[in-house]
Amino acid sequence: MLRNYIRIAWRNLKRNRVFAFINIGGMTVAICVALLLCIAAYHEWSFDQFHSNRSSLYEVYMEEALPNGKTVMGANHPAPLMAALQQECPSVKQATRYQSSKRSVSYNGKTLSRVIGFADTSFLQMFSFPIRSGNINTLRNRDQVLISEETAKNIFGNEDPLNKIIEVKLGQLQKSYTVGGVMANVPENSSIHFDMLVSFSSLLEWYGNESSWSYSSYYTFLQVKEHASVPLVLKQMQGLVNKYMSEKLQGMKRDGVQPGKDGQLLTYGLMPVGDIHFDRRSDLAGIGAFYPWLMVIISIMVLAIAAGNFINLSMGRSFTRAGEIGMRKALGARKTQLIAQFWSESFILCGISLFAGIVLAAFVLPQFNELFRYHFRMASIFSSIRILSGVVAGFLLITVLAGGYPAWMISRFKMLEVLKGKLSLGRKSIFRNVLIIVQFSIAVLLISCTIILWQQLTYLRSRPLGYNQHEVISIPVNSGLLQKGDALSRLRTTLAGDPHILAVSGSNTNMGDGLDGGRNSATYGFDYKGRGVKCNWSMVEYDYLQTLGLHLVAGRDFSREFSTDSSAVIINELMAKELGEKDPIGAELDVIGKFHVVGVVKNFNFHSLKEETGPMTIQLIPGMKPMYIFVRVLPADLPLAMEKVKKAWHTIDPDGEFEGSFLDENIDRMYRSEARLAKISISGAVVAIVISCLGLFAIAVLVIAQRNKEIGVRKVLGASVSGIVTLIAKDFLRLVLIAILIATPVAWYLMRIWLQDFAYHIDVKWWVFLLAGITAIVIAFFTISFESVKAALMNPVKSLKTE
Amino acid sequence: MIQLRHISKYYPVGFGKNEILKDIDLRIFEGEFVSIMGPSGSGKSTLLHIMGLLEEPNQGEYLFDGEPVHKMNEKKRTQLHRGAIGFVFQAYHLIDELTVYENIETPLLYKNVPAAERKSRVADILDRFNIVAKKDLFPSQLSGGQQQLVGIARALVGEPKVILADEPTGNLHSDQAKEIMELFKQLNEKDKITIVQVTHSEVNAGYGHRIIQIRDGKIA
Repeated sequence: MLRNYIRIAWRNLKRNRVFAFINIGGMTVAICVALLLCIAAYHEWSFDQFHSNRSSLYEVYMEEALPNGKTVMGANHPAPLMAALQQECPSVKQATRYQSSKRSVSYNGKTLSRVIGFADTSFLQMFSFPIRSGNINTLRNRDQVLISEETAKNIFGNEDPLNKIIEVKLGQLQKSYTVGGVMANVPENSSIHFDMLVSFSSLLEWYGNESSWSYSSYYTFLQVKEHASVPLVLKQMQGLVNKYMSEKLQGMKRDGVQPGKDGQLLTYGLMPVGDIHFDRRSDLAGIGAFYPWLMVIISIMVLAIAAGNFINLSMGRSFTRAGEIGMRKALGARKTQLIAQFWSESFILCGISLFAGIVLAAFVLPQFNELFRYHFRMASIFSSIRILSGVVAGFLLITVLAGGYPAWMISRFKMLEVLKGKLSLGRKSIFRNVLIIVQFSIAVLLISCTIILWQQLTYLRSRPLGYNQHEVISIPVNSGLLQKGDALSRLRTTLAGDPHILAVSGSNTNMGDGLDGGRNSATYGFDYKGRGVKCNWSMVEYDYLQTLGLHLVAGRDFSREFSTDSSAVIINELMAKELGEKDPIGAELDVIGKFHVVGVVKNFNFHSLKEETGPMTIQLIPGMKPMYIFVRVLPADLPLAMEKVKKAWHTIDPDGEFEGSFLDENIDRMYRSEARLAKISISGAVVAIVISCLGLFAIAVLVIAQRNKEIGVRKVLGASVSGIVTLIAKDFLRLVLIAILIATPVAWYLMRIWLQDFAYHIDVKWWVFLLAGITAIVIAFFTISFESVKAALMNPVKSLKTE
Repeated sequence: MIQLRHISKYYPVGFGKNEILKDIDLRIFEGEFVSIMGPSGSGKSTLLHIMGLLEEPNQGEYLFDGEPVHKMNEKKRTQLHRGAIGFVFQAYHLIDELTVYENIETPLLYKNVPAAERKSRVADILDRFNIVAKKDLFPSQLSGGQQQLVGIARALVGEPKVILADEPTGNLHSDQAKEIMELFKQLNEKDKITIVQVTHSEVNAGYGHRIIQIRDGKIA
């Protein structure tokens, strides 16, 4: 029986190559896209799930009420918090601090740049980072280090790493560590990522603020005791706020900050470790929680479109196969047997598509990885039982949906009507039309979302930020050079007199995301005329305004001619407003020492455009050791200028890596996740429209075949070619129009929600939807007219004779 | 064998109804060869369809082998289809995608006949109808008469008690028609198969033992 089914399915495939191609082709592409996106989503969801204690592990954050009634959340905590948690909160089992940074590591004259994690001893008991060999208690010793297997291999090759001594640069310090143990590599789906692990006390040794409650810079994790509830822990932690942060609380009260909804000015909160990958409150968060969902939704949409084609084609074809179905019934086939037959046909088609889809996925995987910054490998994907069973389950579901429905419908045909050739088409085409509408709604939705995403992304990249982003190169200074501190002056000397170089300056904060990874910023709060003032703070060298092209609106730039400028600051307009001074020049700020304002610059966007720009104070530190050096170059030949800067840099730092980049590249990097969203959306839209059109094409072929006689008669009666094309196209274009009407409000709503994430965003324009709609109609029209023109040009005698 | 009592069949048309069959009483005995004749639209095909369980009457009782068919459920009807009744159609209704061999084999597949037996039964039939050479051809490669021969072979392979034939020679020229009718006669006499055929032709009707005339939904 099964062989009979397979045989007939195979013959059907061979006989209807166009339909088979459309079915298999569409399904293959859909499966490939869905597979890749679902794997990506699965990867995102698997983040931090490998910790065996994850149900009792939390990251600590703090919620702080602001004078304007809003609240800010932060996950940076003072160093003594951890000890306080362990000693004063009875429901906390243990806690650890954690911090990581990229440092240069050297051994035997070989220097590598690696991420070093600093953690307390409890870290390894709380988190599941297994140690492969060596001493489990390595973190108890300040001068010992745990390294990952991969790093061990990179540094030591085949030597035994244990008890070898490596040198690590920690700012001004150069520290020697003995390798105490080797750890398993940190899995890719871990939010906490490091190549080496050393004790937290060695970080404190470097920073030296072990007991200060006012310097908040460290992530803190805790493990809740069994049977202890989170609210209980939070209550105990609130006690710490009142005990250790009374000074801050008093300052806030004096500034008139109103308590938040829980009646507190400062509140601790706990984020489950399993969720921090998606939790914006954590600095370790990767992407928004909706990204994996978005990937899954797009997968489902694309699969739905392909399945829609499948159903439409099987249904359409079943009318031509009605005779066979009726005869089988007359020969004694039961309903279940007919369903089994048609289902097995779709099973075969889907099976071929699945195989082809996996092969296709393997081919595009490198591009996919590059596009979305993943490191998937086909072999490791399919070694996961979960993914494998997910694929099988998804596949069965698709065959049931795509093959089951038509099979069930077909089996219900009235046998006699079929045998008499009286099968009506009208009733069934409602379902067909609904499917076409759904397909095109999805396609139009994705097209309009893509256009809006793209507009916003272009806007983010091209909006004037108040400084020169195109002609300024930013160079992160690595730790070794930072220690010497003469990089800026040496670069100035080297580049002096070069006509391509306009100005060189330095700062402790970068603009955008540099190649060294991440951004940094500093905020200071202080009292001005009896009021608390909070502002962003940036320390710079001479020529900063000129280099970045900031516009002075009042006062003057820093100048080497004023010796008093060592205590001078320049503020932006928002800061002037914050101070409440009409003429802020000469105003005295008492922060960490006294500063006087010498100039006011126009507001500029030193943060991402997701945030409103805020008050900013720029402090001059003559002869500072900047962490970032900025070089303004001549716009005439940017690549040449970059080459010159790079060459100059190598004379200063012959061993180090040059990580300089133009500021507009840095700004692009800030919007990586938006760019990624746009890419996902574009690929989804393209695939959706292509598969929908394939389906539309096939339906057009079927409908034209069914209306062959009508077309013939109309031609004999004198209908023109364009008249016939319109006749056929009209029906379909009406469906596409309905799809546009459905998709437009949905797209508008979704995009408005998304745009609200940005402090600066475009307005959604009506013509975007018009454009998306026209695109869909034009593509659909071309798809249909291809077949209908052919039908209209056919000799009518031919179609009439066959009757 | 077949017993129809007060069978009526009608379709609703507007507010009234279009009566096809009016109060038909008919009895066909085992081993009979009956021809049903009548003008177009007289209801003869509908009568045959009712006998073959392809259509249900609006009123009346139908006993097949003494069993009330009108009270049977779907499953039992299917069993009757499979076991007791063979169909032959005017338009042959062979399955285009299957070869001659596979077409004949299909009813046996639905009856769950074991593979070895299936093979021998299909081979017997092919042999008997002299179409062994054509077993791997597709229906479109055969002439009309040959296709109908395959159609009859397919009806017979399930070893039915009754063959219901709806104008089996309607699409054939007279030589071929004669061949088919001779075959029916032989099946009826040698194999004791009950045959009911609907036909327009007096000649073909003459092969049967009994002619039933139908006019305006009634037996004349």
